[in-house]
Amino acid sequence: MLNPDEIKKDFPILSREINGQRLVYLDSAATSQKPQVVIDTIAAYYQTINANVHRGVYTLSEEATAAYESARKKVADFVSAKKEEIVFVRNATEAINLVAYAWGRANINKGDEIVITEMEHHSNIVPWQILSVEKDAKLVIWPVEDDGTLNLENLENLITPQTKFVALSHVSNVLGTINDIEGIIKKIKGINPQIVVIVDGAQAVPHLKVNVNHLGADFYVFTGHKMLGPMGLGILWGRQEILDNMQPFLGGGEMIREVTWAKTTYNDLPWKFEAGTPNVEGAIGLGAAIDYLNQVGMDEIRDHEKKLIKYAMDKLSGDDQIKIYGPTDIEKKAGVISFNLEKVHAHDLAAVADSLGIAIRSGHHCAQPLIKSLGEQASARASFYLYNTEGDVDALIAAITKAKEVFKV
Amino acid sequence: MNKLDNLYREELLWVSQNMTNKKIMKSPTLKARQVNPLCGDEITLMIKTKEGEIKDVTFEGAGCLISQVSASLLAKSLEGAKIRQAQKFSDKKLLSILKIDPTPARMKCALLPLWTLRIAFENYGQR
Repeated sequence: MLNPDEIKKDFPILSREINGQRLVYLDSAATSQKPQVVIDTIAAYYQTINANVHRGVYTLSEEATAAYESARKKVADFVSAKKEEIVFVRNATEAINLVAYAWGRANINKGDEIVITEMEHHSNIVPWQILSVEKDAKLVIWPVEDDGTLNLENLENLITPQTKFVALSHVSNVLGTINDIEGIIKKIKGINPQIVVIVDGAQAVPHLKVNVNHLGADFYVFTGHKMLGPMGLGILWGRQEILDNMQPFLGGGEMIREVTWAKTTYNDLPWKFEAGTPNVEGAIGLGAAIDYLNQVGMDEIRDHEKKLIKYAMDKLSGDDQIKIYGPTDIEKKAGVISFNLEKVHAHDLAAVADSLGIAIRSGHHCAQPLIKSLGEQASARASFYLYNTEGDVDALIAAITKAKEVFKV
Repeated sequence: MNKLDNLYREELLWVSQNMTNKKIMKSPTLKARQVNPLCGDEITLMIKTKEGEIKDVTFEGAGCLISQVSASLLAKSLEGAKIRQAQKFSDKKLLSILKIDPTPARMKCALLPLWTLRIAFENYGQR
């Protein structure tokens, strides 16, 4: 059984104080905190083996390259992928944009349809909007049901002979909904196996065991900083055949095999998509984060989060001034709870929470269309990770009580 | 005074519950809407002018207490002002009316109504 009090000790930031109170960090859906071992690994990289990768024949460069590529292997193993299929980029947003530019511009034509869900983060909306406008394609929206889930039966109407592409998230960053990706993709490909599917796994990979082979997607993206790794390293996974057939996204060093004035031939996967000096410290730091997550165990992490969600949902739903959005079935919900306190704007609630040392998110969570469909303009959001405790939930409840006093509601 | 008491002074809480100028104006002379992209707070200012003078100001919007109270107090303090004076309305002046000292993130909430006012005047200038 995972002991969050012990785990907290591995995260130095969690022992600091905010406004004279113990920091209670409930915004891991935005970014996770980092354990000491990740911080140490990054420092050790710069202290001992820093050099540019894939370039030098000297020892340092060989060591840096080996460390960088071994981090790639760890990432690949973590999601049961081949390492050739793991492309390092800046963030999940860039991974989606890479697909929109390199695959989308070559394959989407006038009159084609792109289906996206109503629960997408702006990063899985805007690239497809830009592409649709540019190519005169049609963006089709898959609405979210009142309980915060997607109804698979809708696919029969949404998917038409013009549908070329579907983009959807594995876990909603606002509602915490865990979408049945395997079932959804099976249904899509059952209608037309040629439809290409991208899954935004930014909120899934840190919290659930993910096997990209089982899901049936063509592309899957996630990001290191939400899973205990440093910022600045996103991951694009793509099926090898599809990546092989794509043109590069960015041109430059590293992604080439040979450059002449007549023409340039490209490097093998995954380096074909990694132009320029990569984020070596980011990859190595993420490798250390993955070791840490594996040591704790992803099943343990999920079980712990389920316990916390249940504990928090029980407390919050007992208060009739609180409105909770998204699924109530914890089997369908990751560690994200969005809610509003009646007559108190989410920012004001978050400000009161901050005065007590509690970090919660407030606003539209980069998902304005979804928030609007909930009939709201903003919500408060608490999100959990392996280092959160029931005591953290209690602190949140105390902040809500305090907000009621301050705003007299 | 702690951070919270500074931000949510009694007077501002009172204003938030008594915003009589939060309403739609029929045929305003000037109108502008602004959204804070960071948080989604929105303000629409509606202004009635006559012979270079501001006669009436109302607003509509959704957002945190700070942005809405700021809009209400700004609207109130503009009434009767000459347009030329109102065009010079400074950030400092609005903060002095609010009597708060917001953090950089909340500064955007406090000043959103003033940015909206400036857009309204820009539109006015272009007519």
